Amino acid sequence: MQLDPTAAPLSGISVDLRGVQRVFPGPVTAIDGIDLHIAPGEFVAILGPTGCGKSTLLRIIAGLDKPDSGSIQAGPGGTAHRHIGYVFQDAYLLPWRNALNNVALPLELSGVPRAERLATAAQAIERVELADAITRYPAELSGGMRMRVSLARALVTSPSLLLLDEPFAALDEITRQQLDEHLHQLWYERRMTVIFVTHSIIEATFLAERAVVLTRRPAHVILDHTLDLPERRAAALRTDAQFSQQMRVLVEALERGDGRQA
Amino acid sequence: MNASNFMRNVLPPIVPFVVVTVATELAVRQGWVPSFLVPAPSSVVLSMFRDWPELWRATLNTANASLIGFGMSAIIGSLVAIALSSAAWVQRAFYPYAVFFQTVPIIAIAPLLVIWFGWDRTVVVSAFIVSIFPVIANTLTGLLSTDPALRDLFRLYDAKRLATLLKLRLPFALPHVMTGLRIAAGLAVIGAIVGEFITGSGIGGSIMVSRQQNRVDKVFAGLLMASLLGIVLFTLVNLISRLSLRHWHASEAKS
Repeated sequence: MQLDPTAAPLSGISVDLRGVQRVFPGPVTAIDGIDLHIAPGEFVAILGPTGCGKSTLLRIIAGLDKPDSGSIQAGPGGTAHRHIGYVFQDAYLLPWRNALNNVALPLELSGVPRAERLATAAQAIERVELADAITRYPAELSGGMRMRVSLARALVTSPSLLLLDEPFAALDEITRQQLDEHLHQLWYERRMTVIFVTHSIIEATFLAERAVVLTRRPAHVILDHTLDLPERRAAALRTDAQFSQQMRVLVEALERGDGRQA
Repeated sequence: MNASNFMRNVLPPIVPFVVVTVATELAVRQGWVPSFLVPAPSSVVLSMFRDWPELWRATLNTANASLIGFGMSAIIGSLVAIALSSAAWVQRAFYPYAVFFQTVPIIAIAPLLVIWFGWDRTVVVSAFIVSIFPVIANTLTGLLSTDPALRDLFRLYDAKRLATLLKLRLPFALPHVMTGLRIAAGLAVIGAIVGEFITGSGIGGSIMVSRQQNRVDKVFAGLLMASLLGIVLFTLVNLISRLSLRHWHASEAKS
């Protein structure tokens, strides 16, 4: 297992979804036959109306849920859990552990020796610029700081696939933009595959190389669009004309996907 | 402690105590209430001084039995809750008996306890039986309320069952466990005293004997000691609870 975050740039893994369908008891078809190929190191945003099954899709990719039909393959050897980092809608830190020990948790569960996991966790916290909060407990951190700790925890195992489920939705706009820029930087340096679920069009446009728009439930892909923007994203991009033009493409797809059943 | 804290937190419970004590003293002295029914507070205090060695020994006995019974409840109750939480069928099969256990009137089975466990252990067993249910019920609730997202997180890293129990489910259940222990602390004292009514030891025994001697003042002295014991135990558990949960809530050192 690759654990040293300072090691040579990691390459991401590919994700392959074929005819993935998920039906919940009811029966409610959450996902209706999704085909998606994500290349190694790609940054993909998944957009869609609230409750359309975006989170379900992400859980299936993470191996936390199983599709009722279809197949999912992440990387060459199937879904290997330990190569996946997952960031939830909330920080979900353990309140009885300080920031450092929260970040070290994934390594602890994988049996990494104490000294080694604490050193690795400390580096991961430094990378999200929280070095001075290392000994503080979640209750003493602001919402944005907690989310950074959560991000560090997801990155501490040097995952080749990072899954984020509307991670910054609960934060204020400024904090959110800062974290978006930070996430872009992390991806730019490390090139893991990132799948970012969001309902924010600005966020998707700013972060992703490629945006996949889902329809209202039962979800299927209505648009698979490679964003026509420079690879390097900076804060100023958000006010760029090309940026709003690209946003419009996504807005139109979202409206079509949302209005289909209305 | 500053003045406003005293006014807000300490004074309110003291006022009713003083009013009731003074009113009772007055009622007894004026002969409105016969002193063989309700003793004057002053005579209770007097009795406490006079019979202190005996009362103190009785209190130590009761405290000892309550603590052991409570400790057994805490440990065995948590283990039972862990076992019950391990699978839905285990819970369906055995939880009804835990509930049944709680509804059995302890005073009715106390004679049986003497037969089974002997005079010495009856008091401890009684304290244990009365106080275990809240530990089981609250710990179980806590163990079953683990946040699904955190369970997912542990699954994502292939955490073993034991690691999930020790590093997630038990610590997550801690606030519930503490609630159960707070309730159990008071109940353990009650259970011990009920047991002592049968065995004749401790505060319970002292109260029985005093009643037979028509010493209402001494009965009240015993009651007072029993309440004090309950309060001390409760405060102790509260302190442990605060210490163990100190990181859960936002502290004043917030940025």
